[in-house]
Parts: sequence; C-alpha cells; structure tokens
Amino acid sequence: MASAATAQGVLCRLRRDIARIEGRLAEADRLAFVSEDLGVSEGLGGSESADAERSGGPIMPAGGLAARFSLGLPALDAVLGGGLARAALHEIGAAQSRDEPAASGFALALVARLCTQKDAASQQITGQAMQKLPGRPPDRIPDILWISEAGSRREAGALYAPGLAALGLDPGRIVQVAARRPAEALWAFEAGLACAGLAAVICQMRGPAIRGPAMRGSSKAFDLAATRRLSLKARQSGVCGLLVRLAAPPQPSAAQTRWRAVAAPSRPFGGPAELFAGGIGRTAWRLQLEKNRGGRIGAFTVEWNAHEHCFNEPGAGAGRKDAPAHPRPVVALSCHRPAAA
Amino acid sequence: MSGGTLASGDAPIAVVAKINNALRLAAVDEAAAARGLRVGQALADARGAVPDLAVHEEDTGADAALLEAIAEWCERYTPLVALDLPGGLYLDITGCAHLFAPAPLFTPYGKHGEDGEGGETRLAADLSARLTAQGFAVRTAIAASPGAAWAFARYGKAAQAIAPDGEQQALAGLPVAGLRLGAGPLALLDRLGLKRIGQLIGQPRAPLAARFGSVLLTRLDQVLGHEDEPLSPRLPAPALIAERCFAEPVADASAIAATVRSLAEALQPALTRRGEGARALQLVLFASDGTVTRLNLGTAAPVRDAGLIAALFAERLAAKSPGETDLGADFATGHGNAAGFDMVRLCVTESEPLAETQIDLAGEAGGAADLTQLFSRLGARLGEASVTRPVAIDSHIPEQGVLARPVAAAGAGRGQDMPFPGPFPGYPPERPLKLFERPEPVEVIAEVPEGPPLAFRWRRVLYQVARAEGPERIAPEWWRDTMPAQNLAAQNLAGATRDYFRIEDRQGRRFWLYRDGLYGGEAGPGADHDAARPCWYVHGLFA
Repeated sequence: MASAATAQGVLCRLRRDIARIEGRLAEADRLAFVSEDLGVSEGLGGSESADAERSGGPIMPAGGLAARFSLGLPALDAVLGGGLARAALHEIGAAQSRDEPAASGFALALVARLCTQKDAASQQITGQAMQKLPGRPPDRIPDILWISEAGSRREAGALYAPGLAALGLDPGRIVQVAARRPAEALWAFEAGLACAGLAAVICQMRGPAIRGPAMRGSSKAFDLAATRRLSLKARQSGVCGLLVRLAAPPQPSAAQTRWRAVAAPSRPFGGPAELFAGGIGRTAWRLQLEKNRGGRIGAFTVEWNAHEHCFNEPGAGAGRKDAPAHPRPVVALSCHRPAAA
Repeated sequence: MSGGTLASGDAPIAVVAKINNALRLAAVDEAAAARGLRVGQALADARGAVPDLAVHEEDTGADAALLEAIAEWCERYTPLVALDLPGGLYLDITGCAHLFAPAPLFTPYGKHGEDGEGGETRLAADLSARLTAQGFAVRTAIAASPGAAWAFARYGKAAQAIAPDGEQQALAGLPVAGLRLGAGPLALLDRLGLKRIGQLIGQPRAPLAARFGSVLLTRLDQVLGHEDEPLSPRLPAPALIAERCFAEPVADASAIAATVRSLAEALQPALTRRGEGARALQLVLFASDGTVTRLNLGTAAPVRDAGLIAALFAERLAAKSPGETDLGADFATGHGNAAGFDMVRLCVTESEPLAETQIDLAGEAGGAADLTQLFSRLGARLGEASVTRPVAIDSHIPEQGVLARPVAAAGAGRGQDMPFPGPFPGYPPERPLKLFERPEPVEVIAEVPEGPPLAFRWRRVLYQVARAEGPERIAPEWWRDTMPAQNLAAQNLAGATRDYFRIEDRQGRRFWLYRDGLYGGEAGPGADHDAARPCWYVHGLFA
C-alpha cells in the first residue's frame, strides 16, 4: 500500500515536470493536486481540509513552493485549476477610477495570501520560527514592489500604509516606486520581474484617455508583445506579476489570467447587541474572470478576511470566524444600571 | 580683481556704488586708473576729470554668483576651494601639485626652484592661463599659509611662488596692507610710520597688543605661518576621489561611461582597504567651456563593485538625457555648442562599513544582494526620492501618519521603526487603502449638525449612501494653533476639526469622507462666508 502510494507520487511528480518543460503546466497541476492530497478527500466535508486550504494551500512538495497558491475558496480554486499561478503575469482591470481601489485591493489581497504561503514555506524549510531579537521587531527585507504612475495616483489616490495594514499586508514589506510616465513604470515593472528575490510586483497603470490613432502611453506599452515578454520574465524568475489597469481598452494580452473587479455591497458584522448592523461590513468584491489560460471563466463574489488572509463566500462560514477575537462587554446605559456600585 | 567683465572699448569704465549717501567709484579698469581715477573717489569728481567715463551700477549679487562659478570651476584643481569675497579665492593645493608636474612624476614640496618648473608653478600657470582665456584678470601666488598667499597675490610680483625658507624675507618687503587689517589700524600704522611688514616682525609684542589689540598680532602670526588659519571650503571634501583628464574634450556618452567604470575600478582597492562600501557617490564633469555638472547617486546598500557603480551611473546618465549619445550638447547649459568635457571626477561622499560576503559553492551571493541592486538601479533611473518605504509616524492626523522614506537614505533600515497596527478581527478596516494627496471637495446632503451624509456628489456623479459609520473626530494638534497645511494648494484645510465618516454606497463602493469644521462653531478658513457652513471632502477610498 505504502509503496504503491510513493510510486504514484513519483509518477505524478514526473508528469508535472514533463508538463512544465512542455508548457502544459495547468493541466498537470490539477493532477498533481489530486494525487498529492494523500488521504484527504477532494470535497470539502472535513474541517481539517478546509483549515489546510485556508492556511497554506496544498500540501507542499518537498523542497519548494507550489507552482500555484490556492485562494481559499474552493469554487474559485477549481476554476483556476488549483490556484493562481505563482510565476506568471496576471491582469486585474477596473473600468472606472472609482472602481480602482477594488482592483488594487484584490491585487494586494492576492499578494497577502501569497506571502503567507511563502512565509509558511520558508518556516518549514528552516524548521523553526525566525529568530527575533528580544523586544525588537525584526527588520524586514522588503519583497513586494508597488509601482504606480502619476496619472493613476492623481485619479485614484496613492497607497496609504495604515490602510494596507488594515487589509492584512505588512507595510514593512513594500517598496513603493513612484514613476512619472508610463514608460518609466513599464521599465520598473520589467526590472522588478527580473529580480528573483522579490515575492510579487504590482504595477498600477492608467489606460489612455483618448482613443485614436495617436495612442501613446500605456495602451501601446501593454500590447501582446510586451505582456508576453513580461510573463516570460515572470516565469523565469518566479516572481508573481500583477498588473492593475485603470480604464484600459480591451486588448489581447499574454497574461495568465485577466480579472475585472468592482466593489460589492458588504455584509455587516454581527457583534453583540447588533452594534454594527448599520455600518460597513466585510470587504467584498465582485470579480469576473475574463480570461483564464487553460481553464474556465466565471464570475464570483468574494469577501476578504484580513485577519486570516483568505477569501470567503459571502453568507457562508458563519460561526467562529464571525465572533470577534476579543469580545468586549457592552455596558448598559446608566439608567438601567443597578443601584449597587 | 576688478568686479565684472565688461566689453572692452576705448572709454574708461568704472563701477559705482552708493557709499554713505554719495555715489563713489567701487572699481575702475586699467584705462580709468591710467587717467587718474581711484577707488573711493566721488563720481562727480571722476566725471569732471574724465568726461567720457562709462559708468555701471554695482551688482554685488551677480559678482558673488560669478565668483561662485569660478570657484566651482577651480574645483578641478583641488576640492578645497574657499571664497574670499569680493574677488578672491583660496585654493589649498597641498598634495595636488604632483598631478601637474612634468616628468619625474614626484616633485617633493619645496624643490621646485630648480628651474621654476615645479608642480605648483605649473598649476598656477595653468589656472591663470585658463582664466585669462575666459576673460578674467588674474593674480596668483603660492605660499605656505593663506595669509601670506593673500599678501603676495595682491601686493607681490605677478605669479609668484615663494619657497618656504625665503618667505619671511619676501614678506618683509610687502606693505602692511597685506595683513588684512581694517581701515582704522592701517591709518594708525601709517601715522606711526610702520609701512612695511618687515618693520613689524622684529617689534616687541606687548606694546603692539596694547596699541592695536590682538587683531594685529593674530594677522601677523597668520601671515608668518606661526598660527594656523583653517579654510572653510565651499563643499565638504569627499572621502575618496578618482579623476581623469582628457587631452581633448570628450562628449561621447559611451566614452564617459567607460571612464566612469575605470574610475570606479580605481576606487575599489581604496574602499577594500578601508573595509567600506560607498553609499553616496558624486560624478563631477568639468566642461571645457567652464561649466561644471554634478550627478549625485545614492545606493540602497554599501557597494564596492565597479561594474555595479558603472551600471548605476549609466542609468542616471540615461535618465538625464534619454537616447542621446552626445552629452556635451545636453550638459552645456545654454551655450549651444557641444563643449565636451575635459575632466571627469568620481568621488565617494558617504561610505559605510561593508563586510565581505561569502559566496557559496554555487556562486550565488544571495537574494538580499539582488534586492538592494534592484532598488539602487530603480533609484538611479527614477531618482532616489521615487523609491520609498513607508514608515509609521506617531501622529493622529491621517496624512501625516506615514512618512515615505527613500530606500537610498543613509541610515535607513538600521533604526527600529514603529509597526503599523494590524487588522482587528471582527471589525471593518478603519483606514482606507488609497488616500488622495489633495482631498477632493464633494457636495453632501447630510443631517445637521453631526449626522452622516445621505447622498453626495463627487466628480459630477451622485452617490446614494447605504451604510455609514462615524463620526471619527480628528482635531488639530492642540499644541499648534491650526491644523498644519498639507501643501500650498490645500491651504483651505488648515485649522479645523475634521469629522470622518466611512460611507458605503448602494453599489458597494466604500469612501472615507470628512467634514471640515463644525456647524455653528469653528469653521476652516476655506468655509463659506455665510454663517460657518463647513465643507465636505473625500479623503480616501477603501478597498
């Protein structure tokens, strides 16, 4: 029994390697996902598998990061073929500037999930938690690059670090590059994708304001040839490239997946005495997967759990995740308080 | 040196300035001096003596700027150049003279008197020749102390280089005006009959101190070299310098890049010996028409590798003149001609200890080195201020709570920074993901006085509010009078209490709105004139 399982594992790994060499990775990954899930059913009945998925994705193959990282939502993962490809270029578009924070937020949430997985993997490899100097937070080497261009900063605002921390990503890992022109942003994007030490590079660009024969700027910069070059660089270095495009015209692109994100109405938090019933709830987006290489497309509504770095389906998973970690007692109004002090 | 270079003509030229409510001559040229005009003469007298005098107003600002430009140009000889207003320069050429000596390469200091062809003499000759070619009248002198050099330059023979042992003898013959004293002591000395410095050298010191105070003795000691007079150079001298002169001016970008690479290679052994790496570098290009161009570069981590330094400067040069191969036309400011550069100097202005890194058997230095290289390259191409990391600042005012610190800033990464507060489970995010640098005004329908908005119009689109939370009151810092203004265009934001609301509209977009000022109370300076109606702004957008 055990020898059959190991033989099966070896065979699947071989198949995956051959598929990677031939460039058919998506299909082979799905096989590898199924076979490496030793003893755990693919359906999500058990809570352990749900936990395993939420925390770190599929069980790691020895000595490295998985080629795809799961998003924590089984429907989404199934469509993506196990998860989002790590060493590839992905495009996330926003139709108007008022939808741009949803696209950027989704991109940063993906990066947060990727970094959680990367940290877990490196912790596994080193075998122990990072050595911390007593009383001092470790000086973090930044491994995420955020490139923005002046036009998109004017229209949709600049990245705000406390908001980034509220989304679940440590701002100490981010290096911001403020480019003045689209050409500079494209150059910085390529330079970042070529550097293997980074975990992810996010580039925020604005599409051209005027359509016409003299279209210069980002539209020409991101045609098929350019995106093919970028995705090739990403695949070689293992860096995840995310391109957030604002008001871009539909164009053929060589990105692995293309999304469109808008904000979705949020579900309010419960909480004691319905305190927050009228307020803003969980961060939610309506995503449309417009293009998926080697997979299906679809539309999804997801919620982002910033504390646990995973995507939820709205309306599902009520229970322990909803209750605040530190429930605060509510003091009754003074007129109802008993007289005894 | 007379102030200002004016077109030469037959008419004598003088520069006038208003001294003590009378127009007096501040400077005269040789033609006017030959006709008998002197500095300090009243303009009316001068006009009477020389009717065809051409008169110009004194412009001390322009004179000082010109002196600065000449000092900048003189940096090619030595980095220690000090200004001596209104028309002089001190150059400390200790140790620089060997660069100008003919063969043999090393001329020990003081041995130049053999045939007058020592390194210092050639340096001075080169300096005066170039400055004269640019149209200035120059007097130079080389001596062992700044005071003596000052005296020889103004009152000695032209282009003198004094051997240190003959200095005191030569000084003795100079007038006492060479001691840099004020008009009062000079008049007193004249009355006493002391006209030459030699008469002062042998005098007992106590009576001189009693008569003139300590100034005279200090100046005497400085001139004789008994007392040190430190120069304060215009720019701090860099730690390490490597330079190269070209026989013919060079303007080709690839030649300059190759030169930078070889200069970086020349600096590498010195850095290795010190165990340091360069954190800030400066490339100085001296053009043959007199202009000096400086390019500064900062790195994210100490570097020593010549190839990396050359690559970073290549990025900086490419960014400054993209696509140009002829740098001369680009850098020659306003002159229009492709001047070319005849000297290139690479300096290390800041350095930090750099430990040797072991490379493992596979020959890879490690990911961290790649990252710092990437950040240095990005900084070199886009400017150091464009590549930043966010640092938390202890301030409750939202736009001031984050500082964008450049990655190339010296000392970055060593201090302990405040961590940002993380997400609180079970509660929505308190701060938006995107913040506008200038909050955008919106028109709001809201409950008065403190209710949340019900609908608002932003960028000409109407939004209906579905959910609202707040207000979160952020008051100005009580130890200041008003809220600090963010930037010039947003002056209207200074001074008022802000009530922030987290708003979600019917489609699910989440905004961070605030009201600037309170109803019926304090209002910001930008509020409407009637009855303190505060304004609303959108400050940020949530994810």
